[in-house]
Amino acid sequence: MLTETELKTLADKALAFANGYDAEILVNSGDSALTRFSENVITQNVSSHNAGLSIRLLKDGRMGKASTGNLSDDGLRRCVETAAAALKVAERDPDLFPLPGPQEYRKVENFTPATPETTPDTRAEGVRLAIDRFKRDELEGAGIFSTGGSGFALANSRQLWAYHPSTRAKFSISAMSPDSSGWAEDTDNDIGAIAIDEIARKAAQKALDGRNPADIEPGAYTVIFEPAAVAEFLLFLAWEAFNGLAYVEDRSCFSGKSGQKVAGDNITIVDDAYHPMTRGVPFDYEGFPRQKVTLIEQGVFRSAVHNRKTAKLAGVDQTGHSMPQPDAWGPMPGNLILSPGDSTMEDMIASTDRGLLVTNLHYVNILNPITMTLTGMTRDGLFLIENGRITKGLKNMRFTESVLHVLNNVEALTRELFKTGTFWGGGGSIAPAIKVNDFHLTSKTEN
Amino acid sequence: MRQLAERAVETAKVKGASYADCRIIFTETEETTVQNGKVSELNISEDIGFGVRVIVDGAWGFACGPGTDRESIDRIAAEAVSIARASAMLKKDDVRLAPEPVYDETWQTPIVEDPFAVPLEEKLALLFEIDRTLRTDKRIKTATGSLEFLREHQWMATSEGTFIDQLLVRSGAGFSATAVGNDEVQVRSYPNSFRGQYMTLGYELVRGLHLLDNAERVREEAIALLTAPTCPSGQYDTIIDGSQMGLQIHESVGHATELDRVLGMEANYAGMSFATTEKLNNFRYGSDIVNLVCDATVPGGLGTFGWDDDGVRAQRWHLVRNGQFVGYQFNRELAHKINAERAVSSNRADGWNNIPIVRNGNISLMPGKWKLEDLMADTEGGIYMETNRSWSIDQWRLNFQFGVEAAWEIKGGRKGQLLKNANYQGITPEFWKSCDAICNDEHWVLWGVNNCGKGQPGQRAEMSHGAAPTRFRKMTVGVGN
Repeated sequence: MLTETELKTLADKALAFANGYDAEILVNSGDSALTRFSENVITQNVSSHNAGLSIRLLKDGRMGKASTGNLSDDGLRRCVETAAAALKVAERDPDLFPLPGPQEYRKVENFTPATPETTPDTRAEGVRLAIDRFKRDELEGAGIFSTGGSGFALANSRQLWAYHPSTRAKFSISAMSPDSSGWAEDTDNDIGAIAIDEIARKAAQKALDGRNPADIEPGAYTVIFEPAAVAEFLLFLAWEAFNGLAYVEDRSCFSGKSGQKVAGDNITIVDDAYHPMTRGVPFDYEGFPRQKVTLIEQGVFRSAVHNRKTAKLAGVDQTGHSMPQPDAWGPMPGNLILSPGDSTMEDMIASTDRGLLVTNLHYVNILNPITMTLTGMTRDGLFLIENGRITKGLKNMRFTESVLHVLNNVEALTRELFKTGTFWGGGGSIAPAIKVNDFHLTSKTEN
Repeated sequence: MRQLAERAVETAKVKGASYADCRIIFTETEETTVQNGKVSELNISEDIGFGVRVIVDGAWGFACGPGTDRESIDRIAAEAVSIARASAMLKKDDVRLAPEPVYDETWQTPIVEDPFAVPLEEKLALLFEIDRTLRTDKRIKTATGSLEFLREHQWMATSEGTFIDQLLVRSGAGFSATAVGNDEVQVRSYPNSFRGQYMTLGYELVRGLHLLDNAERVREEAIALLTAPTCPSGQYDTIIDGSQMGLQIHESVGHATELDRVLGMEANYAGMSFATTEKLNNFRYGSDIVNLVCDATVPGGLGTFGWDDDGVRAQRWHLVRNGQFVGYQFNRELAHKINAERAVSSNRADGWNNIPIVRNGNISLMPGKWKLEDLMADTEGGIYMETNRSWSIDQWRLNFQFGVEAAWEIKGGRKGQLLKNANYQGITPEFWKSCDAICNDEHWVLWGVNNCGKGQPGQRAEMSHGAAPTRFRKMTVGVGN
């Protein structure tokens, strides 16, 4: 990947070519590698080197934008010319915001050099470690071991410069028996922190415990959701409810509800790029410092996240959550944290007379943004809890439920927080496991 | 470009590859969006890079990089070889590629009007006119219109001697109106949700869609939905329009018949499939009238090309014939798993920086004989559903639930009142077996899906699904209403 100096050189060249305009440059570079396996063998092994640059020009209330993967001088010059041509035909926008000047950022360390330097042999050895366990348990494994690093920088013609390097290692594995599956994963900027043996043990145990799954009927259940499942709920809140544009256009379930009770007292959700478990980018896509925002505090809705446009419409300050401009979707939080409670997974199970344990959710999607009704499937470990203990594995079920209903029926949250991704990607979230009452499962499936 | 691609292949062979291919891809895109009277997207981009795929010691390796300079090509080809050697540390059997003739060919998407030659001023003027029409009622809080064009030039060389030069063109256009009020958020789109219709056509797609002519209707339907009754819950005979049928085919047939998924290669991410290999030619997928065909040659399809990224010539084949499960989508590597002598054209990569994987192609439900008005008249009581709003399916491609933008009651054989918040749920084989009527080719449209996600690392692919309005008996609708 390109160094900060190399990225700055590219940005400076592009700015020089854009002389006569207000100009904003986004430039990124990254190396990533991924080893994929299934049926206990490596099936795919890839390495990718990427770099790209985009230019946004502003002049006389007009804007034009272009991007390129050709970072030669000719490529940059042509990119500027294309953006200038687009600007020429763009409608004048009296509400166009000027580019900001230099900003101060908090340092966020999220870079471990060893991670992108990981060799394919090291990844293969990691996969072998997990697969050897699965073979002993007569399970089949499928998953990934990925490593990489990237640098992202933003510059503008008003001397703003922002740069954030990061690394990421991820090991994710599914364990499969003929009639059950289990799953676990871990991600960290430091490959040395990925505990492959423990991840494989967790996934294998889920698959072994879930064998000979039983049927249950649709209905309302007390459900304990592990953190990966909780992250799915948080992702849709980020996209649809905490989005500043949806909020000001009255499309969010929280529109007009600032200061109102929307969830149980035990629910506090913040967006915080500086939390030691998130280590997010400390600036947004216009170069403003990213702020920690309290979204829901002890059940009371406090704020959406905003860029300058949505903040102006809402009559509040922007929070450093701009997406690349121009932007049709709106500002979104990317570092969500659901505050922990005082319970443990063991306590939550022990206090459940009859309920379910959900390991993860699959293919969740939104049916109604105002009620925040989602539907999706359980996956990789659905278990029945009876008289305070897990008694059997179950066939997967579909749910159709409002996230607002969930947030008002959380009986307990664990003390421990976990970093977890989601099915659809996104930034991932920091979440505890939660115990929810009156959760609606609406249909069955065969596996 | 040919010399560069062949240089990569030669380098890989010298380093020890028993098979190698190189794809160089140059892409140009133009994306324009107008939202609530402002240009909210106006991005023109170009990109070039290459990917090298090799087999060494019987295992795959892939590496890629931007640009096309010789030093990078040599370095990346060597990297692909070293990665393949690591893959060989954990293999069961050597990779075996099904035979395919050697080609030296060119292919190009046939278009009438180059979309990149149409002035941006004209495109913006169209989007602003649509925007103004949609926002004449204050209950429309968000009006969004977009135009999107892509031109992708691919050069592929293989160590078997194949060289293919392809130029693909895609166009997309559409708009939506989001109405807010009465504690509801309702959206209507034209011609389809999620940015509209996409095809491998030129600007003639945009001109043929008559976007502006539909803006007033879309606005009024979005507003009417705010006060419409909620779709009832229960079992109803349901007619599903062609665009929603497109996504239904995509999720419950397309992904279900991808052989890599069946074999567990997607198990950690998008899941597997109920359509396991012992069911091939031995399983009733749907009723007798259900014929589902995958066709990489159909004009206008997003998955239409001359050759796939395995260098396999575009083909047309049945997945379901007269209700029977008869075919998979698979690549050269997996052909032997079902004793196929040759691959079908299903291996595709997202750009230069991804390895080809088995992808859902242009899968269509063949038209039946009904006129839509006759089918309505034949339906005593039921629901008509139109335009996807939400989709979800389990990791075995069995239990699905779809939400739609709008539905109408069918009463006494006539389309009745508008219904909001409609959805339906089913289990794939039972659903297709309940299909008892399909509208004719006058109602049949090839609907583009331009955002299909699969793979780790994630890849996006585009494909189309042809369908006409189709009736299913006793569907579960209105879940959670």
